[in-house]
Amino acid sequence: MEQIPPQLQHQLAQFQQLQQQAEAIATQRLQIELQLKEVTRALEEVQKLGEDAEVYKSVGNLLIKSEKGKVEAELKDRKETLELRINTLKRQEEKVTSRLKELQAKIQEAIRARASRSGGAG
Amino acid sequence: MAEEKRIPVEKVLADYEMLRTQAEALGQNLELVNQHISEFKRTLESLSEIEKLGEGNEILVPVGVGSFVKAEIKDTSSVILSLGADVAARKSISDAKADLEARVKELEKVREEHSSRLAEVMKNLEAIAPMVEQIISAMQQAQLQRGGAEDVRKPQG
Repeated sequence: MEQIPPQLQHQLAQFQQLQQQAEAIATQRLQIELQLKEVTRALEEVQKLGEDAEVYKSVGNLLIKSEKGKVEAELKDRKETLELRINTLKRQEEKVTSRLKELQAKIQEAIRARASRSGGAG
Repeated sequence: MAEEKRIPVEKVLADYEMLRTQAEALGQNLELVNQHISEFKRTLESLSEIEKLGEGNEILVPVGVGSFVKAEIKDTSSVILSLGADVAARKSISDAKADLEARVKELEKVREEHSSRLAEVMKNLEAIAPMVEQIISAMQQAQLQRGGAEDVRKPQG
């Protein structure tokens, strides 16, 4: 069985690593998107409540009384932070995907070159 | 020719793996959605019962695994309802029930979508399964033949 040249081995390992990185970023983005959905929904619900509504924040097993305005401001803040994180992750995802495509092309080229060399030799 | 055949084989195996992963994920999601629906329905039942009770009625409040403390209901007109994202608010029982019913409907819609997607994935898996079995048995045979050829060569080397 023919040995894979070290350079191609290195590229394959790098490709696998990048693939794992892309998966990890995508999973993280999905989780944050879910959190954003929940926060947006809660914010909408809080905004529907009257000004004197009894609002609570859950801390561990406890519900602590708070104020509508305070909770609304906190939720808006959380929403903004989550949106920023999603944008950062999207940019990271784009970078990793383009590096993956580049590397894939290089690997395919190397394999093609090897196949044509061994085809010519045989 | 051999090169032309290899591509579809790899594609069939990759498709099979992808479909299996999809089926697994959809199955897990469905289980979670079902759990949520049951939980919402149990809460709706409890709220309906509380609505029927008068103030001062004795109830048992769960405090952990199969353990309860006696309590008296002070308010049968409102309830503190979670709005998600660690926020809760007092709502009238009828508003709370309407909210919960709306969420059950949303979840039932999700369940329907996931069920039909799962059925589709399973259909595709069943269609592809005989091909995968053929590929695996062909690969096993090829391996056996290779093993035999190596055994023949070994004494000469």
